[in-house]
Amino acid sequence: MTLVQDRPRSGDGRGSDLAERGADALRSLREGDTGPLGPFVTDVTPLLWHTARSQGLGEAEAQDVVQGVWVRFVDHAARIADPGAVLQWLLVSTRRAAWRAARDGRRVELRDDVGGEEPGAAGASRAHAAADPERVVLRDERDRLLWEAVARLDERCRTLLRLVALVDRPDYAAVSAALGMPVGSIGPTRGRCLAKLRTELEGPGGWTR
Amino acid sequence: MSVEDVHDGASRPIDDVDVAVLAALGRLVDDADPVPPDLVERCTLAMSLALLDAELMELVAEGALAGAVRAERVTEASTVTFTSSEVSVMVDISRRGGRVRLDGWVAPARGLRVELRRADGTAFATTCDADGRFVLDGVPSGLAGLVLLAAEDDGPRLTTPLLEL
Repeated sequence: MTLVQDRPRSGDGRGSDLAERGADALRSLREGDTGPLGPFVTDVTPLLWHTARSQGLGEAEAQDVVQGVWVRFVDHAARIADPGAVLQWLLVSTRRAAWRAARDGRRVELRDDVGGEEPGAAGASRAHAAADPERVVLRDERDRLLWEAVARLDERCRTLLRLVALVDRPDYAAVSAALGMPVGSIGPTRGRCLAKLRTELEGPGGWTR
Repeated sequence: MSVEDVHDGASRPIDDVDVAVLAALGRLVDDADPVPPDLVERCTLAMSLALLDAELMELVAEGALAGAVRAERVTEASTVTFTSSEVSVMVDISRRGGRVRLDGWVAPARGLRVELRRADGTAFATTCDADGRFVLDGVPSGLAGLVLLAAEDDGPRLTTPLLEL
């Protein structure tokens, strides 16, 4: 597991991104104020949900994992050394808890959709493929091209882009960093994944035109 | 979007196409596997119970999940039992109209204060009688957690896992 050493310093005059709001939520919580926590939970829970699901968990178990991570966050509030790392702590904890739950196999509902996964992929990657949504709503050709292009990316890029896609632009960097990309390579890494996707999309069919 | 986030600080700027691609992808990811509608509510309620710094009781029931007692979503009547090191509580849950009634029995009997905390922030409260029995009636359906509190400071402080009433 990669723990980031070089987190970006968020909130340096740039307004609050998710990392900064996480820090704020934790500091407030330690002072007995749960005010900032509510909106933060609302905004981060979708990221945790998709993180848990990406490990191959069924819906019920993914919900339990996400709930458990939030409860642990409250229980561990005093022990999280760096408030700026709250978002990362949540994402990493969710991925680990989901991975453990999937490994233990209790009530895991691996779904059948493993189409498109290369046979040589590692176990975690297979679990990820199993969680690939079956009921994606492809409204048109552009959706189909995009979905297929993302599916062709390596797992790291796929995971990164799917989560980054869930947040607004000011939070791209915070989520990228929280997923374990050293700050010096956030750009190149995010750029690498986005560039790969753009290359896929610029092929015949022309998503980007 | 501010000037600062136009460049990603390293190799190349994010352009409008990147933003459009990610927006479209975000919609697909969310459509494909939507976040369960009550997940945020569940998490928030579970966190508020955890903040009570109380001992989490264990559910004694077969087939139940760790997080919520959703496995036995109450249709007409059911009984759940929770235990802790000092206290057990058995709860009969029955539905009348759109409302839920809880008949509880704490053992060993003691005059604990009983609160049912709901996801919307409302709570129903009562106190156990001399036999350890309590009734909470007219509770709207939805997610809730029971809290058992002793009057004395060194007495038990307990919460149950979430119940889906």
